[in-house]
Amino acid sequence: MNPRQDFPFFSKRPELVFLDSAASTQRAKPVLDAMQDFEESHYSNVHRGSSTLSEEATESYEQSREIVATFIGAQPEQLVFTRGTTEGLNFVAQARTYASVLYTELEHNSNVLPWKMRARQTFLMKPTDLTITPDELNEALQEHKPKLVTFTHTSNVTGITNDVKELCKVASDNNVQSVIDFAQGAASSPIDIKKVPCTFLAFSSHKMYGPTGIGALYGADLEAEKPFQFGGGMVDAISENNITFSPSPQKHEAGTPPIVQAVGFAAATTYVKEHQRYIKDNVKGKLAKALTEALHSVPGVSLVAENTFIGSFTTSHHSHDVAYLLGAHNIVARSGHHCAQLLAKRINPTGTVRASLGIYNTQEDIQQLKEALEQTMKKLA
Amino acid sequence: MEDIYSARVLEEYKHPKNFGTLSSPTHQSKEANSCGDTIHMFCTVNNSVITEIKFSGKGCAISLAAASLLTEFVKGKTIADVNKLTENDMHQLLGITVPLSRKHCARLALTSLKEALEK
Repeated sequence: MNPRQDFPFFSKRPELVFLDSAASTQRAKPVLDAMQDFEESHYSNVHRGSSTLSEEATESYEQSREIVATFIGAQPEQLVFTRGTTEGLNFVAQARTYASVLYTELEHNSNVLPWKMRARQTFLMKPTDLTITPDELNEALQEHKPKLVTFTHTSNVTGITNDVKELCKVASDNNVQSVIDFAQGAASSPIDIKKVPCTFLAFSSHKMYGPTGIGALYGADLEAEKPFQFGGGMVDAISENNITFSPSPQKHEAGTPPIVQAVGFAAATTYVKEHQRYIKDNVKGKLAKALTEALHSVPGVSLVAENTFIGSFTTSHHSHDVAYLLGAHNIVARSGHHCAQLLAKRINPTGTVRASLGIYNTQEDIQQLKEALEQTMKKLA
Repeated sequence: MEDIYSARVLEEYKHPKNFGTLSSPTHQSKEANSCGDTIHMFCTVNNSVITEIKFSGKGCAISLAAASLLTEFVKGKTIADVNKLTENDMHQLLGITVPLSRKHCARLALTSLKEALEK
């Protein structure tokens, strides 16, 4: 199996070593094909009109919802299409006003700012290590007694995955609602929501080989939530003095949704599902190990976490300098705080360089990174 | 892609001029940018003329080279001269075409110096 062949990007840009999948992945061919076929043969607006074409498009759109929901073990009515993880988290933060929310130091800004802006009170939990332990979470919940706790499934800085099943159980035992930021986990870690008692879970298509502009929010009981955006396609009836919203998920999807992207998103979840064993054995297994070994072998490089698919590292030089010079060797890596400033500043005030793996990366990519990094370090020394 | 890490930029980064502090500056300011870089400017000004200048801080090669080149350039110049300096002047001092994503790096030292002289 050679998944790299499934990505037309690499035949068009063979010179590039793409190590920035944690920011956004390349698009898989089955995803592009599904979108193109829908565009060319089935496109129409959805949930509007009674034409055969509109019904056809609506069927594809709702079928996409079912496929994405099944990907996480949820029911279609428990899944709202969003613009991405950020909008999903904002949905939860805006649908109701939470009296108090606990978040952690490991979060992406999109899982910090919505709560800081919308909750009446927020508490920051600082895990001792770069992972959230059930005991530490329990302690924090007992101390602050928040209404809701939110945490990342997999850190976008370290690639470390938290035991979200146990964390959600701790939250549930404390009678606290829980939110999982699944953005980095979706492409790498299968989840069955029936076994993970969270209240909400948000993820994005573009971090799992699907298109940008679409994501999903799972809610255990979305019917109980108020809409946070308003527009067409979300009401059953409206009069001067009365509004009857449609049932979930329609009432949460105001306006024309990203229809083509939903089709692509569904194809992406299918693609990931079909490659889960490969991802586990290679991306999170052999390649992650090789990435750690390669980075360790370069003098002056310090790794933030070992054997993860996100190789964040620091050197005595600024992360932007290192990443920029790697770019001159055709290595696409990211530098800075990775929109997770609380964590990045804890690790290093001027950020880290991040080389993150996707399904298309190879041992040769890692070797090229190693050689480019050696030359970069020499140049800056 | 032009190599913004020119010999001059690398030299100023590796061996910055005027790096350090002044014990009794008449003017000083510490500025940071979104990357976490900080440049702390220390100046002694007599009759509106900069007679001594040092800087300290942490930053990327571009922001440190810019601070080194700027501090060297403004010695003996007046506050009015400094206030006339622009981002383009910083790019000229660096001698490179600064890409959009690194303009804030080239600007930081000038922002810090202007802020110090305003106080």
